[in-house]
Amino acid sequence: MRSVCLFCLVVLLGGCAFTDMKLPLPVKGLDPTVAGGGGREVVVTVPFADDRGVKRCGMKKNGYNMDTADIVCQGDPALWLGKLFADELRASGFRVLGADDARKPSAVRLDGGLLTVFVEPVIGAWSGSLETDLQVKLVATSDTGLRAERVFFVKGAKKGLMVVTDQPVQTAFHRATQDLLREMVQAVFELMLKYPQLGGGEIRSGRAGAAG
Amino acid sequence: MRRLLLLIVLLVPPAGCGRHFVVKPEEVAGRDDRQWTVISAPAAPSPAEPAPDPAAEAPSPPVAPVSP
Repeated sequence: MRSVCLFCLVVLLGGCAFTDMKLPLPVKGLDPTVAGGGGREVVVTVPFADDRGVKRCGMKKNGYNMDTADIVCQGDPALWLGKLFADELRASGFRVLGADDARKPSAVRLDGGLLTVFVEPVIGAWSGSLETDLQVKLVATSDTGLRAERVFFVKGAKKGLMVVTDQPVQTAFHRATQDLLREMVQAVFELMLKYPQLGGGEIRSGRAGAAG
Repeated sequence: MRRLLLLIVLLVPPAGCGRHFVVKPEEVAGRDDRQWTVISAPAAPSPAEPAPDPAAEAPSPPVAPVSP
């Protein structure tokens, strides 16, 4: 009888570790935004290409670091990130166009490829943390001959955890998303400062503050 | 004694015996490019049309007729 009770207790306590978790994708952009786009034209292809090797968005693990369940994105992460990036460039003052819109020859076309989206608890002997890896490749081209590439890799972490629940997972994911967005937007600024002829407009150095 | 050992095994699981998908924090910098790899630069902007020279545009003074 005692064994049965113990078995039931273990099953009840361990139940959540074996249940898939749905991860809502954050829709909030940078706060504050990186300002200074000056109305320059950029074309963002949405959605990004989904080039992930692992299609699930993360995994749950038990105390022995064993994979017990999936973390599944609510929605298409390639579509989500493409939209978020386009919205953030718009908030930064760029004139963001769709792939089929009329544009200047100097407009910069940004094609993104999503390489990694993964959330995972990293369990140590005495403590643990939740870590999110995000990796994106951006290819920038223009009708005037530009071709440039860059890979972005960021990690967001929420430390001091032993139990995987929704909130810490979302916190780690949100932190990684913010870092990735900031890096990508600043990279567009860097490219346009290097080649001022791109985008046809006035570029000011990207800086945190009100969009303008 | 056995119970104590069992409790220790259950509460203090051995670390690092699982598989990791996320990279170690020290490996992040090596996977981030940090700067653009420019394969081809955009064409330089066409030089602005030079402003017309007022002297060049000024009508030439009338030539006085040469008397025979």
